[in-house]
Amino acid sequence: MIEFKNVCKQYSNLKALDKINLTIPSSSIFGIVGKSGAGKSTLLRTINQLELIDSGTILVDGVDIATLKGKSLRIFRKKVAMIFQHFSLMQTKTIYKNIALPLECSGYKKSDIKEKVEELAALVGIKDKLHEKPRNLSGGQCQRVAIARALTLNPKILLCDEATSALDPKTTHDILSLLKRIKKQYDITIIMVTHQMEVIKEVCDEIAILKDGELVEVGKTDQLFISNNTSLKELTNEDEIIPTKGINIKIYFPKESSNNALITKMARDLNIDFSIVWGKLERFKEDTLGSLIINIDDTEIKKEKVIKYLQKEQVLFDIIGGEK
Amino acid sequence: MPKITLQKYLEEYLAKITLETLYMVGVSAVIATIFAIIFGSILYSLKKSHHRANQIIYKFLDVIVNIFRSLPFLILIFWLIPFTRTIMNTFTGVAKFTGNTAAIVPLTIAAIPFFTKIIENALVEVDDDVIEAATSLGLSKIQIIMKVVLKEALPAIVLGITLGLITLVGYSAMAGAVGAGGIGNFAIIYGQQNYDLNAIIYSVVTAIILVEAIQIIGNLIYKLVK
Repeated sequence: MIEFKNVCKQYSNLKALDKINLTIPSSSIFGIVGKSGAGKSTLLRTINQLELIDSGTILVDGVDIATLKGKSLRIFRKKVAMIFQHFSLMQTKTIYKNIALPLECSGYKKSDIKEKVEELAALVGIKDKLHEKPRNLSGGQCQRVAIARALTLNPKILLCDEATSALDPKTTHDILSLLKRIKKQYDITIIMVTHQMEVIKEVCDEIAILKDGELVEVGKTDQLFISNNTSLKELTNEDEIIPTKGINIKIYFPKESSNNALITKMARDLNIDFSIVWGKLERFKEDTLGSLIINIDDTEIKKEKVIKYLQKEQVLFDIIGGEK
Repeated sequence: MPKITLQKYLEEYLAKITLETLYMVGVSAVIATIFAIIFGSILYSLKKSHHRANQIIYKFLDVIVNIFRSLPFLILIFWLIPFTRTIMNTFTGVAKFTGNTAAIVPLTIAAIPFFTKIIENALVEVDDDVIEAATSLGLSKIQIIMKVVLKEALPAIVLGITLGLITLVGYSAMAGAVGAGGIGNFAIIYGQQNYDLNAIIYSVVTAIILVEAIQIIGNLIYKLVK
C-alpha cells in the first residue's frame, strides 16, 4: 500500500504537486491521469525518489520513504521497478546484458543471472532476441525488454511512466495484456501514468485524476467513466451533441443492466415515444458499460413518468439540457 | 649529407621511424587514456552534481584542464624538462630528458587534458533517460558511471581517442626537439634541414598512411562497440 499525505512539490514558481492525499492499494493496477503538466509523472517519480518532495510524507508499506538514504534507498529502489515511455535501454549492450544489468550490479552469480534472464525473456516473449542490440528491435519489443529488466529483482511495485505512449494501438494492447498477466503471476502493484484513455479503460482498477498539481478525483475506473464525471470529461474531450428541444435524459448502464433491454421495455410499459439521440458502449476490462441519451417531449407528465420508472428500475440517470 | 634514395629509405629508415613514432604515441596514449578516464569521470560527476560546491570545483578544474590544453606543445616540452628528468630517474634510473622514452613524458602530459575533455564530452552526451532508469534499478553512483555511462559513451570515446591519437602523431614530430626520433623528426632532419625533397615526400607519405591506418582501426573498433 502506498499512502501520500499532504505531499507538495514546487518547481521555481510552479506548483507541481499541491497537497496530494492519496492511497494506492496493494495488488491493484492504479492509473494516474491528467493533462500534460498536471503533475502525474512527478507524482509517480516521488514513489522511488527520482523526484524529491518539499513537504508531506509518502509511506510505502508503512515505511516513510523520506527516511531512506544511500544504501537503504538503493535496496528500496530494487523493490520498486520502473518502465519508461522511451524504454531507456542501453544501446551499447545486447538484450541479454540489458536485462542482466540489475542482477550483475547486485552481485548475483553468473549461472543464476543466466537462469533469471532466460526465464524473464521467455515470460515477455523475446527469447530469440537476447543477442541482438536494442536498435534492431521494434518499440514493443524494447518495452518488453524493459519490463523484463524491471522484473529481475522481484519488485513489489512497478511504476509505468507513459509506458505505452510511444506504441501503436495493437502493440499497446499487447503490452497491457502482458502487464495484466505479470500482475496476476507475481502479485505486484502496478501504477501507470498515462494520457491514453484506452489504457485506463483496459487495465486500471482505480484511477486518480490530477489537474494543475491537485488531486481532483479518485475512484473505481468504471464508476468514474459511466458517471458523468466532469474532470474525466475534460480529459476525454468528448462532447455529446444533443437536441436543444425537449428533455434529455442520460441513462447509465452499469455492469448488471447493460444486457437488459431497458429502453424498449420502458417504451412499451409507459407507452411513450422517445428518440435515442446519443449513445456509447465501451469495454472496461471484462465488462461492457455505457450510456444512452434519450429525448422526450417537453411535458411535465411524461418527464415525471419516465423519472419514476427509472427510479423504480434502479437505473442511474441524469437529466441534462433544457430546464431541470 | 647525401640524399636519401627510396631504396635506402625503405631498407634503413621506414620501419625504424614508424616504430619510434608508434612507441611514443602508443605508450603516451595508453597512459593518458587511463588518467583521462579517471579525470573525465570525476569532471562528469562534478558537472552533473546538484551541489553548488561541486559546481564551483568543476569550474575550477575545468579552467586548469583548459590551461594545459592551450599550452603550445614545444613550450610544454621545455617547461617540463625538470619533471621529465625526475620521472626518467624514477623509472629508468637515468635522469635524462632526451630520446624517445623521455619524449613520452611531455606527450602524455599534453595528451591527458586533451583526452580528459574528449571523455568528459562523450560522457555528458549519454542519454539522461538511461541514467534515470539505472537509478530506478537501485544502482549506486559508481555503478552507474562504471557500468552504464562509460559503457554507453564507449563508441564516442573510441572515436574521440582516435582523433587524439592522430593529434599525438603530429605532436611527436616536435619531440625531435629533445632528440626523439620518429617520422616527423626524420622529415625535419633529413628533409628540411638537408634540402632533400625526396626524404620529405617519403616521410609525409608514411605519416599519411599511418594516420589513415589509425583512423581505419578506430572506425572498426567503433563499429564493434556500438
